[in-house]
Amino acid sequence: MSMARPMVGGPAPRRAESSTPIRTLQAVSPTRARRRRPKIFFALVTVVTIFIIIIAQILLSVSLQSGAYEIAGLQRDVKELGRTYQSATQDLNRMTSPQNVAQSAEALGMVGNSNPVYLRLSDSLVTGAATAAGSGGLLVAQGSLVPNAMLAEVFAEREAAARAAAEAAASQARTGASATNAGNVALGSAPAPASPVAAVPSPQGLPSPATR
Amino acid sequence: MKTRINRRRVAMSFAVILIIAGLFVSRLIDIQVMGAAAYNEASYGRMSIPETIHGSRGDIVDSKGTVLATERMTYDVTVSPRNAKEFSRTTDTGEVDITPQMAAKEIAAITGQSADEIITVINEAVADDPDSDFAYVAKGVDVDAFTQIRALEIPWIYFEQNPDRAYPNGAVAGNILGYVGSDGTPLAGLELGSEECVGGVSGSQSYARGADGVRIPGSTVVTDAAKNGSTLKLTIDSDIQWFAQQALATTARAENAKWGMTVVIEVETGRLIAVADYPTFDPNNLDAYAPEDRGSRAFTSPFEPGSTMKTLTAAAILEAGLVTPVTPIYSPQFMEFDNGARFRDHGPHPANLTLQGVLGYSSNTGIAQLGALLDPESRYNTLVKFGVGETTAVEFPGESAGLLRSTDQWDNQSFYTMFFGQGLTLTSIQMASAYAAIGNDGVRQPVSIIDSCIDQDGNTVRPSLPEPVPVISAQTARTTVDMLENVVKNGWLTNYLTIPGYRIGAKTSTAEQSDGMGGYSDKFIVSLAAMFPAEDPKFVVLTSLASPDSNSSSAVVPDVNNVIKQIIKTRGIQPSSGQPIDYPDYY
Repeated sequence: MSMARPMVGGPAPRRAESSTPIRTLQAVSPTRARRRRPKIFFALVTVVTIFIIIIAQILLSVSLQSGAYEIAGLQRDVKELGRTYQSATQDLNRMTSPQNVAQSAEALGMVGNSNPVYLRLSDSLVTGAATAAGSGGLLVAQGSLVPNAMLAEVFAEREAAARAAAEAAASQARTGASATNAGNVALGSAPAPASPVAAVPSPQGLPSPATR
Repeated sequence: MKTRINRRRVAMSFAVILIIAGLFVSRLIDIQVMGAAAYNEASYGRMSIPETIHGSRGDIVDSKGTVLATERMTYDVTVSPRNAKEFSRTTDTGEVDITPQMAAKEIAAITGQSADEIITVINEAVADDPDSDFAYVAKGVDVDAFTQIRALEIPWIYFEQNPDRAYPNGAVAGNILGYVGSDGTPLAGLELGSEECVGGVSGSQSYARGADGVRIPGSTVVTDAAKNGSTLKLTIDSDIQWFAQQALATTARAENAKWGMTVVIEVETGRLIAVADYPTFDPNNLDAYAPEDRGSRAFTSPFEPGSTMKTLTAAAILEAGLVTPVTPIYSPQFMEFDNGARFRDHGPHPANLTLQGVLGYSSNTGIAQLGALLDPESRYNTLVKFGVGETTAVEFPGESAGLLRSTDQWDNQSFYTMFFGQGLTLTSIQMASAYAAIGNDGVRQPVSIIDSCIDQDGNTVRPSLPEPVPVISAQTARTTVDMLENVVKNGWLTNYLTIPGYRIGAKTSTAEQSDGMGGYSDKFIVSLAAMFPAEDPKFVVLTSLASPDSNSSSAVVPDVNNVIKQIIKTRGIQPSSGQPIDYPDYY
């Protein structure tokens, strides 16, 4: 109501001058027409205020609502990203499993040399028998004997990819047409082994001083 | 006139107001009294939705942090059979109608089923109950399959999620990890033994939700906080563990062995680096394995160790000052003792042996005569100090203490045969621990497989272990290791076990095993216990195989040799220095 005071302040003194003598006797003033204006004015102010409050409240609740939706949406995102994370970690963990590493390495033709050999720099002494790794160094040539059900599908996909690549190569050879990149699918994009293990190259040993 | 009309108006208005008020009151009673319970219930259901907060199970990692067991979310694909009808899908080329058959084919391609299987599930559910609203299409598919199936946007396919245990390295350490049930209850192995560390505790909370199903912000009330499990860190090295398992399985298959195990223990700390069992067990694929193959025989199945025991006997009599490595003892092929005990040696050898020769030729008659110099009480006490007859500090679920009878229960035969490892039983872990004690200057460290338990905030709790037990003097331990090295150097082992540049001490065993009917089977349990580098042992490797085709301890030698080489490479063990004291085999 304090808002209205300065506006009422204008007419008030005039009203005081004219009606002072009969104020206590006349409940209904003959100057009703003159009073109607401030009444409408009050009503207007009240209605406008109510409207402003309603609109403000609507805006507030709309923004709260949309905030709730935003939170729900972000929570969905968190869940989704959690799933992606899980999927990626799962792939990473099973790809780094020793079975996979060993099989992939041997598929690339790598052979473990089980003979530990050291070269001492101070006097060039070689300890151990520096012999080339032979097929005896192959650990999983007969297949992994330490099963991993989580890797099974990776191997299956890899085999399928290798097969597809072989077929593509065969059909290319037959028709001479340009082959598609059938070999590079999904996880099988790791270099597909053409032949299980190629002949092991045998280096002539280390160019070293005589082993003592 | 005017006032009458006015009065009537007032009466009318009053009546109307009364009627309206009456309506309101009756409706109010209807809502507040008659239907209160139903409305309350509906409102609670709408307003406060209880929820279980899942307390996830902790990971199990190896000594380098490689994840051996973890929790992952899997999904059950379910279908509403009564709604399984044709639907249209918007694609790049326009609207396409998808029949249930087509949808089934798409799902089947992802889950690895056949389309017919899925159609059968739907048809059977509808045949049972035309209003059927629920049936399983596939259970436990992984997150990749879930995202793919969800992307198909089939309106009558739903999902349920279940936390599940996954073992990314498969059978690597599978036998010791154990497994959990489908409801997440730990059932065996370290999963069971370390439940206190890795187990999660589920909590509960409730939240309010608007009419549109969206959670009202800030309305979540946690009634019971969930507790996620901690990470269990093992002493196992997963690379060596895998190698040991692969090598053991290769040997065991070639020898057609029934079962076997390789134990690698760190001498100075008693930490288990690898515990390989054959047959190996992949906890991802529980049902594919026989129940007896799902655990770790290294911990749970004690057996009569045979000649590897001679090393312990030799250490005991050396410690008592009764003999030296060169003490002569006439050791014939066959002997009958005063108390009636009788047994023979496994293979031919000269009879004029020293203690060193008794170990080298693994003479039963020789070790029994020398061992008998020690009084039974001291024998028993030394064995107990070596850890025979009591479970190790690992406290592995189902771990066996083996069998060591008290002295008053020794019969005449086992009084002597115990010197060479018949008539008492040990687990492989116990035997490896005893050898580690000899390698560790005679002090037996408590065996451990758990490094620590690390909670979510990174607080590390190490298990409390018993004090180390002094078994024999450092001098006796040194002499015993030297004798083991001479066994390798001067015997047949030298051609198969030697690694150029490294000093290795070892003892073989070809033990008779029970046939389960009170007698001995004609198939042996063969073992080789080795420690290296012999000048200051760091690791003990013990491999045993049950019933190998060759029936000879030579079956396990290449396996131990390979494992030692792998440890040398993996741990970067420097070549050996010095030479052992040479003790002659004969007098």
